[in-house]
Amino acid sequence: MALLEVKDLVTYFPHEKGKVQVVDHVSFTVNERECFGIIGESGCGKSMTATSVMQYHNEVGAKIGGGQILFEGRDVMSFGKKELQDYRGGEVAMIMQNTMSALDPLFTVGDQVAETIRRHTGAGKKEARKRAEEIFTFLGIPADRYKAYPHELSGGMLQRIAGGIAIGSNPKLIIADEPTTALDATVQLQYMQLLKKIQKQTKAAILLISHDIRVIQMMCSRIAVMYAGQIVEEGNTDEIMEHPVHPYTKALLEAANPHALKVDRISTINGQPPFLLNPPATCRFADRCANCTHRCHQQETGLYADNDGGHFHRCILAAEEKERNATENGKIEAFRIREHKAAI
Amino acid sequence: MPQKMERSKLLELENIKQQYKVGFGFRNKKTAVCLSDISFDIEEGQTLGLVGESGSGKTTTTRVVLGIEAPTSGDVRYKGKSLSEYGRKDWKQFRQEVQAVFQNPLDSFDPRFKVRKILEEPLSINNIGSPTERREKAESLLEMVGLSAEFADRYPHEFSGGQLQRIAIARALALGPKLLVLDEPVSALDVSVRGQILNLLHDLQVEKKISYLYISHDIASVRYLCDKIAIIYFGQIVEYGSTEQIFEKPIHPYTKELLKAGVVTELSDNVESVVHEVPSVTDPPPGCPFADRCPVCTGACRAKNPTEYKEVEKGHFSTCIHYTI
Repeated sequence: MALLEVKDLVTYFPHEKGKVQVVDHVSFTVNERECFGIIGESGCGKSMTATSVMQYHNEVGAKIGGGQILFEGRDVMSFGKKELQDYRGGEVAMIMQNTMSALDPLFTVGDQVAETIRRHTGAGKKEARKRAEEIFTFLGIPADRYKAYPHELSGGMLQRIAGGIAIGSNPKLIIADEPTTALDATVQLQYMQLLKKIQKQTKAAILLISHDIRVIQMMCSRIAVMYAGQIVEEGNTDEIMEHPVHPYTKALLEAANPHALKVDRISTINGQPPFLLNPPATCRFADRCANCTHRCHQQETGLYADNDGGHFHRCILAAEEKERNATENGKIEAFRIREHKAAI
Repeated sequence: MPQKMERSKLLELENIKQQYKVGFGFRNKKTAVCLSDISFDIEEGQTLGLVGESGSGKTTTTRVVLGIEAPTSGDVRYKGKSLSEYGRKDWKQFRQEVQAVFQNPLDSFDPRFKVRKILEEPLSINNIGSPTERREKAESLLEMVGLSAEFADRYPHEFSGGQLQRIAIARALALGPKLLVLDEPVSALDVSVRGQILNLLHDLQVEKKISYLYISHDIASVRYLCDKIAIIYFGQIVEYGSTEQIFEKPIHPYTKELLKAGVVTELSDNVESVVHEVPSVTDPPPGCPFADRCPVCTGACRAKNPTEYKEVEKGHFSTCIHYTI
């Protein structure tokens, strides 16, 4: 069952020379209890997608230029102020990247966890405190840290608190925006374990956003790869990890390979993503792509299906090759049939 | 750590200890021990990697190395001369030759300076060259780090993280340094850009024979860049050796955990919920600080903190008592 449906979402920043289109016709679905991952480098529109889903885009000065965001079939963009307040933090919770600035330095972390519970579940002070303490035990945080202030805790601990705030209201969807990027390698692993535990316990769906393919691979069943505001590839995690189709996905996997660092030279993706002011309809990765042909600069791209299993990509060349193979196979097949008939 | 090497040592740290007084009032005053007995040295043209998690004392070590803080006890020697004996002129020389690149490039630039001014500033402070020469130098520095000279007239906020880190490296190179202190230069960057910066650092070292002190919690990038690695935990170097030794034959359980964390791709189903926290610096346990997280911990580990280094093989040291030679 689809929990969150994003259809043709366009988010842009007004610019004196036009629109800086940071999210460009992005469509995806997050099903119930599923972990869906969005991966891409910084500036590709991952976080702006999340911000749009949460309807925070006005706060950062962005505008939504089209599309639809449906949560349980309800149109999020038509929500009034009250509905939005219940939606944000209540039905959809968010874990931010930088917890140090996401938490209020003037309140104890325990109070901040209890606050969400009170606001969204209607619990009284004592009840909320009890629930918050349960959450602390669940997260593996010592009970005496309830009265600690954010500056007294380590980064890993704070990130756990942020997780606690998110699950306090029993949300149906948790959006985790780069939850582990600010953490150390060992702590990162612990936190991923915790996220998995959260998902198991609360049965919430998770929309995980990260630039680290490893994090996404560990958590998600399906992933979307974003580049320059567009989804360039989407499919099951295993399939994308094993058979990436789009050159950008391939390069990203190559660059993130931990074993590749033994070599003399790290493989990188040369160049920069394009500036998204009035972006072209042609392939946006063309300038950085090793296999780029002149057609890549001329032809408009669309989403092509790689197979029937929901694996999509945005590479013209791969799509053409598949078509060519298909027709060749068709010819061979036709030839075989003819031979067969002749033999009879 | 006993080290005998033929190549000349550029920087030596000997038994560095760094403590801070924390707490208010005269009753609550405590001492936080951030570094206890750190020793290592960096040879010319060599890269030493300092690896540890946050709170382990990596950044305090950089501050001591850069001379921003004087250590509580111990000695930092640059080219054989102790920093504690430095006079005004020595410091001026030292600060030209030892430069730093920090984690967050946007924080280390003045937002009102154009890139040109950022790059010319170290030159003008030290009265090097005429204005035209400085201008040319700034442009050539940009080209050296793979940016085009036309970027010189832009402001820091106009750049991406990877480009800013290149500018930070260019600024550090302006005075022709001998030692670059790189404090987590790639941890704020994306994987694709991370590789570019690491390649750039590698090329610069080959070209200019600069020594690096590379500080990171990301073990994978350390492998690429470093000749020697020191693993630091709770203000103490727990393992030290060449990159090969550390990666092929890790001794200390903490090193093993770090190496494992870098390559794990699947989460185990049996989910642990215990938080492994680093012990408090104001109230350190009597035993090994890693004991609570250690899979091979025994009673002896909790009784006394092992501080003696055992030489496992030539040039490979560890403090773990569970390794017998």
